[in-house]
Amino acid sequence: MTDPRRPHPNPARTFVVRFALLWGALLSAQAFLPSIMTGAIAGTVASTAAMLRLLGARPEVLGDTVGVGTATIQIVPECTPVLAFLTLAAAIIAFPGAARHKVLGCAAALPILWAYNLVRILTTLAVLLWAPRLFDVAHSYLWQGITICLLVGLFVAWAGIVRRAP
Amino acid sequence: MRRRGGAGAHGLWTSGDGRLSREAWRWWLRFLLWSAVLFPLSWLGLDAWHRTLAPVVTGLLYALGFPFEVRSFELLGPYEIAFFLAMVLATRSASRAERWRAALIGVAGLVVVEIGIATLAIVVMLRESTGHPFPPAIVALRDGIAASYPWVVAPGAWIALLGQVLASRPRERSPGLR
Repeated sequence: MTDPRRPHPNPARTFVVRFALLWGALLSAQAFLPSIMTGAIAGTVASTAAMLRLLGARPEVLGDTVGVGTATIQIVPECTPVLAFLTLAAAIIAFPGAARHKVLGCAAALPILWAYNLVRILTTLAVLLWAPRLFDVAHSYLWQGITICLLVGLFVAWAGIVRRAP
Repeated sequence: MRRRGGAGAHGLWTSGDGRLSREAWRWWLRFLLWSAVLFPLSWLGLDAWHRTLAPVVTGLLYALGFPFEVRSFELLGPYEIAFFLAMVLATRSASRAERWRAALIGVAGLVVVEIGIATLAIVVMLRESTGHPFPPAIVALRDGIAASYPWVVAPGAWIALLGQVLASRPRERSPGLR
């Protein structure tokens, strides 16, 4: 039984604490299961090369590097959508709601973030090719801001859909 | 006086029917405008910021038994502080006092987090360089945290400091957060 004299827990802070714990747990899980990141890097390299071919370019793939023309990038763990996905998944799981909504939210987030990451990598390659002086601005600054906005936006959109759902 | 109750976490951001309210869209617009101002400033101040924090990190490293002088370091901060301030400044339905309080506590907290992450990241690096590296999983965890903490700490601090205040507002005054 709950004590009516006890103040209600702050749901916003409860969410933040749950989210932080889940985020740490998911990051630890991927760190202790290196095959997740190895697979994600291979998948990112393959999908980047496939997209470049679709765009009419002739990419050169060597291990975890993708090159086109004079521009070559190495796909490292931070270049995959895994960390962004785990962050969003932690927020979705920490938010109060039905399990099926959380599963659907995570399932929908993965392809969206994968597609976003492809756009990010292709744009970065384009910057390297045509405006290499802007690489740092685009890579470290612009895309970081867009990633934060995208993650918050996707979470807000998911929370709105969950609220409408029966 | 502290506010209790309110719409709860489900009430954050959405209107009653689950759609973003008009005020929510205004919040996003204000947020993007403030970001457009603060992000470039954080980019321009990046090196100076890290050089300013470096002595604190050095002190912590000495305290932890790693006598190593840090002159600067590479983390993504202070983007997360710019992002957090943009979120707070966009939240007009919180009173000015509430925003000031949130900004002061939040920025202080984010600085502490950045110093902590920088210190831990350098500890892991120093262990690698001295031939006593941490297991690869710890290094991978360090890299994961260093790469993704800016996406997490700013929204987290904003929700923790202003989320309940906003969720307890009457619907018509909410900043797109209800």
